[in-house]
This record gives sequence, C-alpha cells and structure tokens, in this order.
Amino acid sequence: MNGKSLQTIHLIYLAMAFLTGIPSLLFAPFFLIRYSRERDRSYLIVFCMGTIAFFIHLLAFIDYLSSGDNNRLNLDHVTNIFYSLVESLTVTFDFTHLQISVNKYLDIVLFLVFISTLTTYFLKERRELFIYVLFPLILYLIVTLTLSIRMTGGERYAFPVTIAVYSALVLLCKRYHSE
Amino acid sequence: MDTLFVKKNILIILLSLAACLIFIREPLFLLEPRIWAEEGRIYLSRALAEEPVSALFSFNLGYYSFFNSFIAFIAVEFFPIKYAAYVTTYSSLFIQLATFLLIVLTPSKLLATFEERFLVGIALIILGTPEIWLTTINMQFWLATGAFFC
Repeated sequence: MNGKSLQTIHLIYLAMAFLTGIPSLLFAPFFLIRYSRERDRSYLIVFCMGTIAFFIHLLAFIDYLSSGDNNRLNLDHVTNIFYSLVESLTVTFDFTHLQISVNKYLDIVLFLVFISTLTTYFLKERRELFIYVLFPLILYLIVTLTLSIRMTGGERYAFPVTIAVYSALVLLCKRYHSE
Repeated sequence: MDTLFVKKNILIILLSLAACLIFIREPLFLLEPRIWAEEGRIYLSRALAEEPVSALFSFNLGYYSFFNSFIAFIAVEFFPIKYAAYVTTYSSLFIQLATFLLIVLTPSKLLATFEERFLVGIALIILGTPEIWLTTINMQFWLATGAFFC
C-alpha cells in the first residue's frame, strides 16, 4: 500500500471516530494547531470533519436535554468528578495491587507524582509535547468525565491516557537503553 | 499527515500477530460472541423496530454513534438475527485491528520510530480492559486512542 491510499484510510478512520461518540472529537482542535504550524492540508481536512461532527453531536445533546433526562452535565453531580477521576486512573495504574500503596486515594497521589516526573522529564527537551500530547489528554479526561452519565466516568474513559503513559514509558526505557 | 509505505506481506504479518493476541486474550468472545449492554438494548432494538434510515441516523444517550448504528443496521438487514452477536463482535475486532495498524504505521509526535510504535501497538491489545473488549458500544474509546496518535 502506498502513502496516498494509507492517508485516505486514515481520513476515513478519523471521520468515523469523530462521528462515533464524543471522545475522539476532543482531539479535533489540535489538528488545526498542527495545520497552522506545519501547513499540511490533510490536518485542515481533519479539523473540518471534526467541526461538522461537533455540530451533529451538539444536535444530539440538545435533543437529549429536551427529552427531560438530566443525567448529563447536571451540576448536582459535580462532586462525583474527583471520585470518577480516581476510579478511571487507578484501574490501569493500580499501585495497591503492586502493594506500593494502601488505598485508592494514595494511588492517585502516586499516579500524579509518577506522571508529573515523566512529564517534566520529557518537556525539558521537547516543549511541543505539551501542545500535542499533554494538553489534549488533560482536556480529553476532564471533558469526557464531565459529560459522562452522572459524571461517574468509568475505567473505559482512561484507555487513551493509559496508552499514552505507556508510550512515555517505552520512550523512557529506550532513552535509558541508549544512554 | 505522515504515513509509512508498507508492503502487503508486512501488513499481513502485523494483522495476524494482532489478531492472534486478541484471540489469545479471550477466545470465547470470538468463538461464542455475545451482545453487550446498550449494543442490544438500544442499537439492535432500534434497528429491529425502526425504519433503516431512522435507526441509522438516530441520536442515543446524548450523542451520535455512527459505528454502532451502522453495525446494528448491517446485522439486522443483511444477516439472520441469530448471527447479530457475530456481526457486532467481529466488526469490533475490525476496529481494534485498524487502531493497532494505525498506531504502528503512523509516525506521531510522541512515537517517531517503528520500534516504539510497535511496542505501543502491542500494549494497546494487552492493556485494554475487559469492559472495552470486542463490543461496538465501547469502540469509541479505541477510535479516540487512534485519533490521539494520528
């Protein structure tokens, strides 16, 4: 397969991603940033697809609110966000399972220390990672958890974050090996 | 957007490896597929009860989910209903494999070399929690992971 056919498949994949639920849509604005920096038209196409998908999801959300269901974006549930953040992030980084921590709240503190160390290490050399990696992930996590039913989240919400953290670990191991 | 030129035999090897790993994690999902939660309660029910166009473009749970609606439509319109679980499970397998390939074959800001991307692709299959495993309703999280690495 050549680069062009792969790129077409790429665009079809992203179009389907944007039209299937909210999570992928949260990465769409960052394609505009990439377009402004790299002037690659395919990023602009992706951003436009994301914009169209945004309005479709907005219609769906208005339709949902008008049905009288108030399980999403209800401020009464805002206190659940911290708990759902803990629940989402401690599924795949379970320090209690490794017998390092004793409860889930210590788990999240250890997770945040671990992430901060990793982030500081990488941002020192490549500041652009803040725009392309860290900021999109933080935005993704906060918005998806806020929009989840009763703001309770769930382990599935942490999947992209888990894979991103694993990627950072792979890079770290490679760096250690090469040094 | 950067993509790698890839030979067909490498593509087949990568796909076979990913498919084997997915099968090994839980063979029963592929041998005796199931219908999971809203997959049946919402998407298949609507596809059975409503006109195809209406079911395909319906909004559920506050957002639009093209993949779920489309697969439910395919399952109801083109296959006997007893095979609906096979259609939903194997279409989810298709998305999981596509996400794996996308990550492995796309140089990203985070992962520059094939070696790094391959390791993360394997992690995608190993670290996926049971909740998001081979169900159409949770494919949105696989698609989001793919979109993040583009």
